[in-house]
Amino acid sequence: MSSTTTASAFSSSETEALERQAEVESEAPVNFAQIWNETHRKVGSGWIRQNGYKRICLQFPDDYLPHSNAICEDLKAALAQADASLVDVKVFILADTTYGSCCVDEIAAAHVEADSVIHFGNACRSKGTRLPVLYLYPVLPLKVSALLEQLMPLQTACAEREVCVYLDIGYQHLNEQQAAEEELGESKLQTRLKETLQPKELYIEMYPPPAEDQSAGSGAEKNEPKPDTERICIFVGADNQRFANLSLTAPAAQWHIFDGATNVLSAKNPLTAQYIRRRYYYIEKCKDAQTLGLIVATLTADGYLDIVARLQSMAKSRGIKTQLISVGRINPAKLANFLEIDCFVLIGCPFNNMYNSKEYYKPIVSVFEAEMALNPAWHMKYPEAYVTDFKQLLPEGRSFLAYDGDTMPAQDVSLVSGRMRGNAPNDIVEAATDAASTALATQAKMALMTTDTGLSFEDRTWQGLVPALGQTEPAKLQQGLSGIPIKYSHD
Amino acid sequence: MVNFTVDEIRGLMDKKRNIRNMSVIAHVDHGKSTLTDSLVSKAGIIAGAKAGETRFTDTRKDEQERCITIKSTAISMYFEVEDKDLVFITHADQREKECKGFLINLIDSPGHVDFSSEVTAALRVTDGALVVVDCVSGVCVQTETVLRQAIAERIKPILFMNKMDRALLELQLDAEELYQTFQRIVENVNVIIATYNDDGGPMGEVRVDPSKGSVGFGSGLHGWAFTLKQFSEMYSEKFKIDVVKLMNRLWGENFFNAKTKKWQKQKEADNKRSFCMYILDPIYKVFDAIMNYKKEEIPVLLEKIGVTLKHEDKDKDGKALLKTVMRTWLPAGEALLQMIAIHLPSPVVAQKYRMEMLYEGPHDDEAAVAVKNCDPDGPLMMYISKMVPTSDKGRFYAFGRVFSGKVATGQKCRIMGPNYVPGKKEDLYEKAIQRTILMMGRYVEAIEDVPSGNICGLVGVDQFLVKTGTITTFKDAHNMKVMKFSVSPVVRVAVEPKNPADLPKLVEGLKRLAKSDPMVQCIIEESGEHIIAGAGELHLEICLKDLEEDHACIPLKKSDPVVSYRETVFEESNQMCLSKSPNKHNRLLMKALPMPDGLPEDIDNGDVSSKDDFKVRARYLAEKYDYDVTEARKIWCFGPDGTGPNFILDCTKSVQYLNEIKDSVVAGFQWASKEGIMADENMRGVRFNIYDVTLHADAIHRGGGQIIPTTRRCLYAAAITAGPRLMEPVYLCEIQCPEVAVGGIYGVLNRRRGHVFEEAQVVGTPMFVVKAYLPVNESFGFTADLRSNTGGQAFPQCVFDHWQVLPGDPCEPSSKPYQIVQDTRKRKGLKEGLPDLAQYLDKL
Repeated sequence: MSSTTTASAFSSSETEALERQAEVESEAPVNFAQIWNETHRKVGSGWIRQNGYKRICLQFPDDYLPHSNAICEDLKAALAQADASLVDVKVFILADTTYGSCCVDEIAAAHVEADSVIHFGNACRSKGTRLPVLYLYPVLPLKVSALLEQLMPLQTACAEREVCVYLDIGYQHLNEQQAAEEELGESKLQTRLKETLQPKELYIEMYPPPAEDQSAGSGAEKNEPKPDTERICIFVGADNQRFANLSLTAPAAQWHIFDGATNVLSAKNPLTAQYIRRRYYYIEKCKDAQTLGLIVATLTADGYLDIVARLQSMAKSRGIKTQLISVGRINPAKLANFLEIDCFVLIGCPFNNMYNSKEYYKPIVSVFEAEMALNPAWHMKYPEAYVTDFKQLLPEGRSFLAYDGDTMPAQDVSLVSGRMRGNAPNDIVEAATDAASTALATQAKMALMTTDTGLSFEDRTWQGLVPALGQTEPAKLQQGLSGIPIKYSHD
Repeated sequence: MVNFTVDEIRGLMDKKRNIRNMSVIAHVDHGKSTLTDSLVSKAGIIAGAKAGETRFTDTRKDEQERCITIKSTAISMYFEVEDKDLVFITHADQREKECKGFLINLIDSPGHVDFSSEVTAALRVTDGALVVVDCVSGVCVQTETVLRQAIAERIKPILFMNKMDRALLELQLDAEELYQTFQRIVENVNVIIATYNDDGGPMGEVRVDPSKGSVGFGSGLHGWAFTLKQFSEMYSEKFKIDVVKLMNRLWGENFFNAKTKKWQKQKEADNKRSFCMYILDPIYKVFDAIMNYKKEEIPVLLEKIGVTLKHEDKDKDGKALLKTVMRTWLPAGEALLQMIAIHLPSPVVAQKYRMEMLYEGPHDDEAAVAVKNCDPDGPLMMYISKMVPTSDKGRFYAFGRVFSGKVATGQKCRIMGPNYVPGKKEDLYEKAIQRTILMMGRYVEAIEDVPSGNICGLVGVDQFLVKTGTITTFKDAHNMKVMKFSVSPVVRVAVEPKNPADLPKLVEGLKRLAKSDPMVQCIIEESGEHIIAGAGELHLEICLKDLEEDHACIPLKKSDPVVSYRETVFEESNQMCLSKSPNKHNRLLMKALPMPDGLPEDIDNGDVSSKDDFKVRARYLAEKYDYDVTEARKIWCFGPDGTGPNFILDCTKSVQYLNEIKDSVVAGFQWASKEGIMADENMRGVRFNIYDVTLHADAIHRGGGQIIPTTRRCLYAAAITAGPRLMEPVYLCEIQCPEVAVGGIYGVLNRRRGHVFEEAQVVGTPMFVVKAYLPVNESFGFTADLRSNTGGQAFPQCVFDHWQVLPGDPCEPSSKPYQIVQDTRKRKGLKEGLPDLAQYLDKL
């Protein structure tokens, strides 16, 4: 098909698409050297060669896109250079990821039948199920001396306490360097930090943590000691979504951010208590809901189907109807189409499931919040930390609480509407359907799909055209609209 | 209980014509609880000697400590009317034949205005009210409020003049002055009654009249009381006049000339007012003799009035003796209980005219007829008016009145909350009653069943109701009408647990608190604040204390009290506001304008409501507010919550598909009117007009997703361009004080932006009453401030009155509203600054 400058029946004009404002997350811009240096090149091409991948996707976040082409070419060159047989390796660029650039877009990769993905930039490290993934993080420079200098004043506070230093994705190379430095006999970052802060115990961790791969499994997770809530945490990186996520999930007495770009250390309040208090409103809303919309905003993360099933069964036993929705990246207009849904649950990766925007007509809660609302085991229980990763809520997860519908108080007052809400399917309804229940069950087995969505439209004033069969005058045929709605031929 | 057992009471309950359900209502500190004690002492539940000292109905510790009633309390009492008095009960439905025993269910209610929701709840389940007035202070603001409520609920009042001992001992009023005071109070009360009751109405004449015996006099504290009937009986034999005739003679302009032995209608030099001569004089003499220690006069007097002192009382003198003598001579219980039995209606009488006020459904259905006839064999209709905490934490007795049928332990009932709509399932539960109980002040007694016309408590219903509800066995029953409170929860505090991990306990505690008080609102706000809203500072103080000590049992951090504001506009939008949908294919054109004065109040009061027929409503709006009739017919909806004081009106002309987007527009309007543009507060008094709508031809492109957010944006644009303003709640404040303190009051009010609109002396007393409007926002600490500035002599009563526009433009950074908007936004965690019109307004 020849490209046209004007809109055809099946596409809008490209100028409009190009001028469209994209929502770019406000991360500091990166330069080429930071995201693609010798190390990246070596690691990338080595990984491909070792595993013998033939079709590789490079997935970039929006702000890396200007460099994507160069990186792609360079990688191809590196591969060709290393081994002539690898010339026919195909490399694809993936961008504009459906749910968020932190997740590996396995679906898009599947379109080109890729056998591997190299993921650049911000990553949630959700465990994928389909493809092998190599994560390449940018390398940001850090003045360790400046960090140590800035940390000096914290010494008194840190004494006799546990200190945990988290390295953001841009600074994780520091940790890798450590090993090298150790061999050279130089003082490690860890030792230098220890000297500066003199804590009881010092941990250096990477955030997000490297995926607990096949070998590590979830067994290691359980052995992990319970983090001390009195500890002091230092995050090396910018005040970004990752920090927000980390500070919510990891309990600590104090939070400090050291921004490598500006070399400034700033104290942050631990958000958790206030944040959870704020989210309690939405949890109440979720309890009030008659109909829950489960939005699936990931198609890759491990266990999303389990969590959907879990939410559905919990909702059902409370007499709440659920609707499973997949609408790609969510926006207010898409969700407002579901007028009858009272509350949405967003099932997404850990970096992609907190929505506080007031633009949405109905509230959106995370899986964790829905769990707190629906699972009576959470009744009267205060979470030690916020859970952004829904895997933790599944059996084997750290925050898993078994669901037992019987422990539920049958009725409850809503603190949002001040009304009574039933926590169990109303027995009056059951009584009415009891007689027909056997008949219904056999029917359901045979039916392909039930058309009953469970939503009640009876409150709407507009319920569609009245057919009034045989009562309307036959009308003359008229020329209708032609084209697609985005551009009709007659406008 | 000394005098009767539960079985005996159960027997009495069947004699529905011999039941009196009554509440005791009055201004704060006029002596309700003390008076109630003297009744209870007569009924035999506590020893007579302790009446006046125990405040039997104040069941809570803090009530006894503070000497203020906080919760209303019910007690059942038994009283036998003597044969000679039975003739006074003339109405056939007022007593069972051959039965002298009367069952009196009395509810003592708080007098402080902050707790007047308790009064409302008490009135709902009773048929009569004993209005207590302190004869020294006279009729006060709260007297008027509760009386008005009583009349509106069709509750028949009787009057009691309390604290006569003070009038005699402290004020030293002479007999004629005292008569004048009584006369004035009776008149004042009758004026209020006449204002709110139509004599030709279903209740008939409800005026109180001393000569009919519906006004009592006495002292609750000293335990004595009388009506004209008592004195008339004493004198009737002597004068050989019929008791009823004599009662007429003993009140009003009736004078007796002792020399000529003639009755006269005018005051003359040698005659004396009969009330003073025959009633007050003997009392004055007793007081004078005892208080002035005239030892030799006392025995003579005592013999005259027929009082013989018991041996142990012989040594008493002064006040103690006075109490004993008066109590023996004119026992309060006897007089009051007679008054109650004779003048207050039985459920059979009262429910005839109260049914139409109580029942929402058709007035001829099975339930309505049964309520009307107070039929114990009809379907059960019971109204739960409040929840009473049990000793089991977190559980409550549901307290209410059986209007028809019988409620029994184990009976399966339909429990319908206030949001139940017949035919739907919301707010409806079918459950068995775990237990039926009799509530008697501090004690409860289990009882098998309770027939119509009685008040009782239920166990096991509390889980299904928040505060109130209807219990029935009739499948098609409608709800009983919800109570309308005279106060609103306008003062709010935010609470948070000192230890964040206690949050779930706080939430649970708030839920319990919400149940335990008829008025309090416990809300979680979107900002994450846990709000408790109450009628006033005292109310909140009590609620917070209960929350901390009883319901949540955790230490709390409390914010300073804050008020909630309302957002309004003051002119028509200065431009036509256009907003486009996200896909740019739908356009809405709207304007906002303020409602005329009085209309938001009409909507609040339900005079204009979404339930009205649209034609009737349009006519009303056209007549009263000059609205265009055709336009007024096209009100799409009220908001927020479908009933609020804003509406959206369709002014479009022949727009295609308009009816398809109505639901979406309404949804957007509810959203926007709930969360206003300036400070995320409710809107008030804003009318939105839709002028034109352009819609995409395909239904899928004009769905809710396109229209709801667009409507909201368009409404916001319209509000911003129409001169947004803030409204604040204002108290009506009544302050009683001596003249010297008036100056101090003015000073305090001025500093707090209050303004006085009435100042008057209470006739016959040195007290002044100052009435003022005071912004609620300025009222925190007002009572303390006022006391310190008047030497503790001024006592204010504040009750929410209206919303008032806060002067100043909230868009002007130097103005006070701007500051409030910014503070509110900050508190709610919103972006600070002003809303940007460009975000909401689109260009064509």
